[in-house]
Amino acid sequence: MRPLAALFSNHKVLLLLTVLLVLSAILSTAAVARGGGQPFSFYVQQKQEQQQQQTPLSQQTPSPQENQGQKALSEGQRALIPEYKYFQEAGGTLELAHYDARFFTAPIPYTTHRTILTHLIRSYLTTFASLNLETWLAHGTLLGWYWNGRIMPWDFDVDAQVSGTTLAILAEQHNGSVHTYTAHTNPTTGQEENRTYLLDVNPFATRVGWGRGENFIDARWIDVETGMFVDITGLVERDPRGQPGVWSCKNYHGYRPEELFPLRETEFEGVPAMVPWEYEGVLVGEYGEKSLVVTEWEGHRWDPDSKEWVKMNETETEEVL
Amino acid sequence: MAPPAVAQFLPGHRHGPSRSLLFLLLGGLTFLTLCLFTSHLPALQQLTSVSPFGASAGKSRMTSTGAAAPHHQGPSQDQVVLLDLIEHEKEKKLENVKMEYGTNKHPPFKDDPPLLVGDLPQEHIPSSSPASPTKGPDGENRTNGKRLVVVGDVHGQRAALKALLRKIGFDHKHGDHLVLAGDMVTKGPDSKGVVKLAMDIGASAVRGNQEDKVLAAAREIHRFSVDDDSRLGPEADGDGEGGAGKGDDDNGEAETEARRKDHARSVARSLSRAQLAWLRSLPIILRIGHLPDATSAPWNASTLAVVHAGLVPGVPLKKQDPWAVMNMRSLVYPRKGKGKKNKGKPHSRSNSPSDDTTPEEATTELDALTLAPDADAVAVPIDGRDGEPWSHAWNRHQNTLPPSTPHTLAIYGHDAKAGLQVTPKVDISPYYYTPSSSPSIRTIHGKQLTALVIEARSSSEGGGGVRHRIEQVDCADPEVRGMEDEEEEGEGEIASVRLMPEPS
Repeated sequence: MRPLAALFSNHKVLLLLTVLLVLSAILSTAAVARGGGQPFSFYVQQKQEQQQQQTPLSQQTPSPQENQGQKALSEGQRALIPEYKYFQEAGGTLELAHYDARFFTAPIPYTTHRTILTHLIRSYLTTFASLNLETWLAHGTLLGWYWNGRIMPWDFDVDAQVSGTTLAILAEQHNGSVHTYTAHTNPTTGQEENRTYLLDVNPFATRVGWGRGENFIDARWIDVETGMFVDITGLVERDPRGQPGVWSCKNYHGYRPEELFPLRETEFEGVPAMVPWEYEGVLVGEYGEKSLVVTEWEGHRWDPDSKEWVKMNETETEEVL
Repeated sequence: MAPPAVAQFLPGHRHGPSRSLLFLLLGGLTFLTLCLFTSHLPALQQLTSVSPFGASAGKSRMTSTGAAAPHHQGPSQDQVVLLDLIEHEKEKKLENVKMEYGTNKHPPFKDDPPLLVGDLPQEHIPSSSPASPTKGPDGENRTNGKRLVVVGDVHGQRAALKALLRKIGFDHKHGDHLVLAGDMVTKGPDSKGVVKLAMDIGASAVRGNQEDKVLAAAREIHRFSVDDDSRLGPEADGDGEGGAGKGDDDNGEAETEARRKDHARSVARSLSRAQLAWLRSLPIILRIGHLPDATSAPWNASTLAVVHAGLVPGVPLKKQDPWAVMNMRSLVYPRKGKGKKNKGKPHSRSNSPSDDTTPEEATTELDALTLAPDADAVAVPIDGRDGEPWSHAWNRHQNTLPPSTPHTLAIYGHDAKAGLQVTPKVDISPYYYTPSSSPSIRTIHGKQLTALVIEARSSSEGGGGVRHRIEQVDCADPEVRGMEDEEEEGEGEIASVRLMPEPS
């Protein structure tokens, strides 16, 4: 007892110990925040990734900046770049996680956020169509299409998918491109507004491996005014031996090609859009059969006559809950 | 605690500040650090990330946050219990949530037919009384329709279709009329020939999921051939090796390959513009008005509806969802939970049908029956067989309708695997095939192409009324023989007729 006490009462030792402890606490917190919470498995994962990299990769696509002036990195060199989280969001809450940190100024209120998302998806779909890039609606956006062909009012972002081939083309030819889109903000007065969007491709988009889970968004179509975005994920046969014939994004959503193709041509938010061939199976698989019939959700009620989700007032919401 | 011997190396310990304070401080820090590490150990993390309120599972949120649970990684053992709990909570919650089927309205597809519900022209409706002679298209006098022949799921078997028509002495110039219940194309050898034959003899038809797919494939071909056909490989050289060397990379090549292999694309490529236009013009539901001579069930229903796959009970024909009519096999009732079957595989996709009848499936079908839902239960049509066969629900619904209200008899094909049969067994189908995941495998196990012949008989021919019979030919050897004719009188309560094979 006494010797131990003596040890700790030595000021220098004490100081050293405290500093060490504080440092380790800070480091572990940082590692957790950065690595999605797996400080211990970090090394193992890196090793696995390197092994995966040895299997033939999809197009290695240096960004245009890298291309200029210097030789493009070889496959091996590129694989050596440690993966870091490329897309940074404005914050960790469900709401703030749907703004790009670079362009975020303030959260968009409920009354206007749907309009911004509408312009976002319209500009995305029309631009991709004009560039002859194939893309289709996914996740909550697809569910919104199923109900009335619109973004659901409680949704924070828009989701679209592309094939691995299209993703490679995006990375190769369109990364960093800026597009202006004329939004008809007021159809009655004919008022127009030019909005600017950035197509930003994740530098790790063409890595086939799942990575560390930080980069499962392969590209974004970003409204530079607000920081709101379309999440673009590419579907690739990531594990031909383990799951042959399954095309998946890095967030483990898997599809069989015949489930997706041929795509169905339809509309979304008033512009031409495409949905997967078996859209019903995709929705049921992801959200369950209930998602096709539940008429009250997230404080909104489905109005079968106007075919719109209407926000319930507070007393109604309480009744439901 | 520490051995006293160490004390001699550490002089001056009495000069420190409050000893107990230091201990507390150090202990606290150590504890916190440990906590941080352990709480992020992968094993522990799985537990901590499962929230019993379902909020963490992306599934329960109908948003696009994209943070759904890993799709292909089965739950670990210890998670199963928790997942069950969550499932239970969700089911409880669902009991109070408002639900309604069929009120959604997604934007139309480019290939939607001009009419969801088409009407069979009056002249083709079988009638024994030649009271109203009409001028046929070929100028000769013609009476009302004599026989109505319904054939489902021809699947490109042109020879078999011809043999079948020959066998029943089909003559479209003398009042016989052919109705194809969808899926006349793909899988078999001569889709184009079947379409041509159908157009030549002026057959009526409804769109099946295969026609739908061929039309979408035709659009896909068109999309890529307009500006930039390099991505899906050259279209002109068909399914061969043409694009093999052109692929940009391995992934692109595999993807291109997978998509070009799709059988629907080659069928779409084989069809002429006019044939595609004809397919596009087909309704999803063919409505046949009341048969004037029918006296007994099932043919005395006020409406006969020919569809490819099925109909959702309680929804008017005009409000039926085209996808469901072309694809559905069964109905699930979200409020009731999904029965025992889905317990083990919560994500089971509805769209991986397998034609093997396992004992397990048989029992769950019984489960679905014993779970017979209330009249107001919300049913969702799915293309898998995880739910109650839709025809059961359809018949139940029709049979509970008051006699004065119009009844609708459904005639359908699509589901080659026969489940429990509707009585009487009117079973007209073609063959067992494997709608397998690989389009290259076109196994046709069953061999009969089947026709439902509906005929009105005048009283002089004995009895009068409307009779139906089943005719079959062997697909593999259509010239040689047909099955023994069986003839049966419709009896009792029936509300749907399936164009299906006997389960062997």
